[in-house]
Amino acid sequence: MHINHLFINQKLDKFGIGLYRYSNNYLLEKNITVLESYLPLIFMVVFGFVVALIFLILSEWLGARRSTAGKKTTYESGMEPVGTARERFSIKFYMVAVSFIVFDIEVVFMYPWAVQMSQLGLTAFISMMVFIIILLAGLYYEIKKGGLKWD
Amino acid sequence: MINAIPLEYYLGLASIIFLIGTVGVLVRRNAIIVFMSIELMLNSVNLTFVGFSTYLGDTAGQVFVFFVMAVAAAEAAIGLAIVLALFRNKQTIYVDEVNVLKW
Amino acid sequence: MPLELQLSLPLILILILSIKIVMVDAKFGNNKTLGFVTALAGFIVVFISAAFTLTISPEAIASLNAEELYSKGTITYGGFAAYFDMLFCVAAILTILAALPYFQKENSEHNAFYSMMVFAVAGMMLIAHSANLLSLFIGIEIMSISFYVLAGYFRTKEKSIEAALKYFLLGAFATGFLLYGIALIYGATGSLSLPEILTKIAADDFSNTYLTLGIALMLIGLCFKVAAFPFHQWAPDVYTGAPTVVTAFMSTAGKAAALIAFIIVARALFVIDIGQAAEIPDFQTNAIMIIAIISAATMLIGNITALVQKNIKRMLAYSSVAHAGYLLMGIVANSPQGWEGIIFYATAYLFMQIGAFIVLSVLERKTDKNLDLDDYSGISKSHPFLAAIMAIFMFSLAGIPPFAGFFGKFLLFTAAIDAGFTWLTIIAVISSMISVYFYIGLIVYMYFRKSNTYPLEADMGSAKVTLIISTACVVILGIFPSLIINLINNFF
Repeated sequence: MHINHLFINQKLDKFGIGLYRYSNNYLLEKNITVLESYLPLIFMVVFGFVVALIFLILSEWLGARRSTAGKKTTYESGMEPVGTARERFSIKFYMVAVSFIVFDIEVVFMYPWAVQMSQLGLTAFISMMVFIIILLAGLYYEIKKGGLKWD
Repeated sequence: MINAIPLEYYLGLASIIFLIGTVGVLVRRNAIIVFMSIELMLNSVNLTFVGFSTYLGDTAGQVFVFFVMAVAAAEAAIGLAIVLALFRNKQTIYVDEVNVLKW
Repeated sequence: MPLELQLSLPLILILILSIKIVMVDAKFGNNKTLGFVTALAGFIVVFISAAFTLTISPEAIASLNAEELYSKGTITYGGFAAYFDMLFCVAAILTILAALPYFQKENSEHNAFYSMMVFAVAGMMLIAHSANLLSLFIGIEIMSISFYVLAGYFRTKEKSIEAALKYFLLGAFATGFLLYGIALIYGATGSLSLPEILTKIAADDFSNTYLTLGIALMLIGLCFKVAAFPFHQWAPDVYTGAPTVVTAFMSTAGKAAALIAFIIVARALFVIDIGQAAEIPDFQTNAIMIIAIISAATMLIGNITALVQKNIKRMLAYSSVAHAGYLLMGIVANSPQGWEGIIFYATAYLFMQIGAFIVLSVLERKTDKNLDLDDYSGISKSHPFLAAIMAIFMFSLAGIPPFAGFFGKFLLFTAAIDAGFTWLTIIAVISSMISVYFYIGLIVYMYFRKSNTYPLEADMGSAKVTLIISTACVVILGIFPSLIINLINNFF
């Protein structure tokens, strides 16, 4: 495979399969299939639903219903609520959020490289430096255009 | 692989998610929700890639997922900017109210 | 310099240019012409380096061992990729030359425009060079994302933003289909590399269900990108709403890039019938038949809807849909002649369509005035030069002999007939005849109607260079088509 050479080499692959074998051995010992091993999870989900349902029905059946002004207000950790909850945010939050999305996701390329850096050698190192320089160029542009200014 | 969850389960789940995304794009009118449905479609594709990648024992599919995620982030940034510009112009983000161009 | 570095020089240079132009914009943002000069110089340099790689012999390129390359088979070098590099650079140069006076007229800022143009060209070049579904996908996305921004470049204009929103939502939707198709093809054949996929299909070593589904989904995605029939509705809206210079670039270079993606995919998925070879798989005959139907429907719909348009920009937008239909005939033919036909027609189409849109952009006034047919009545008196070259572009688009458009159509039609699609050629000829009506209609308006409005102003500036170059190319390619045909003959 051609692109494999870029980030992931044989060793990581073996590591992944190794983990897989481990879980398989465990299951073989207990003589259950993987699908059967999910059974407790299903029990838990069903049990959770049933308990929640029981409590809902019980509170409906046993509880008294008295409405007061205090109960109807928005919950604000015990404080008096100030203003409406549907307030608009400043556009600054949007700028920070978008920058965050873009720069945050780019890190995804660095994890595999960082894990395997010693095996991948100089070529991968230079490639990653080029990548980081391109990211820095983007950051420089953003700073110059005032994308990170708060006021 | 006898014990593992079969590949078809992953593909089935992915195709259901993809379908939900497609239907979301077609029926919803809020531009942001349409966009979220598209992201759902992309993520279902990621699931397909990872499923195939494990099944084939080939890492190329997982590398592809990284790139899809990066592209989706870039698209999100651009898309939000376009929706914002639309809101500034028209005070709406409902796609059926965006209808200046018609033949 | 090692051979691989020489061959990948256009890609490296466009990468450097795209960083450079962002830096220029960040540092000298208020200098109005610096971005323009940087982009122009950069495109010329990339053009020269691509032209240089075209001189390297195919044998030398074939002798490069794929395993020893840095690109490891994700990139193809030389040949049609280098040719398309040059073509995209020419389109970009023509566009930015016309954009300078256009944006001055609209009082718009420039610099971000040049950055996005460079990014779009980088994406297109990556498409042309891709030998792997991953690089193909990334190229398509870089191009599309730049186009979303370019379509909404006039961000205070309702129309422009609306075009951007439509293009973005539908484009991202199509990307989802394209990706799902790629994922299923990957699952069916176990590889992302296109040559490997081709060997597996030829050796009948694949999972049929996933492959058929994958091809269907990928076709949907690609048909969207070239604006072919069931997925063409976005094209007229986006082309009308976007700034005119952007439309000129999007509807030509963008379409050429989407078609080169189509060629690259078709070459990997569809085995050519070379007589004694193994029998062609069923999915392939069906897929080609579907593309043939899409192609026929696209040209009919495009030309018939263009008939009733009163707005010239919208008329040209619909006609560009129809041209996508003609270009798809080359894919249907599924032979080297067909692909060469696509390359020649894409070249010819690029010059004539850019020329026509730039004439529009020169005569256009703020708030989208002067774009209707009536505004053009009698302009041969006030603007003889513009009217004459517009007439040349219209004749060429209609496919009338001495111009480039005719030879493009001729090559495509003969390729389709050779592949046994005579019915498709008949439909293509009929729809070309329909198109003559509205192309010549514009000429009639320009030459034989009395001017009923005040005379239009035209300030061409550097757009004049664009117009002269594209007119010259349309005429020269029409009289000496062998100049290009000899060049592209050895690509496939």
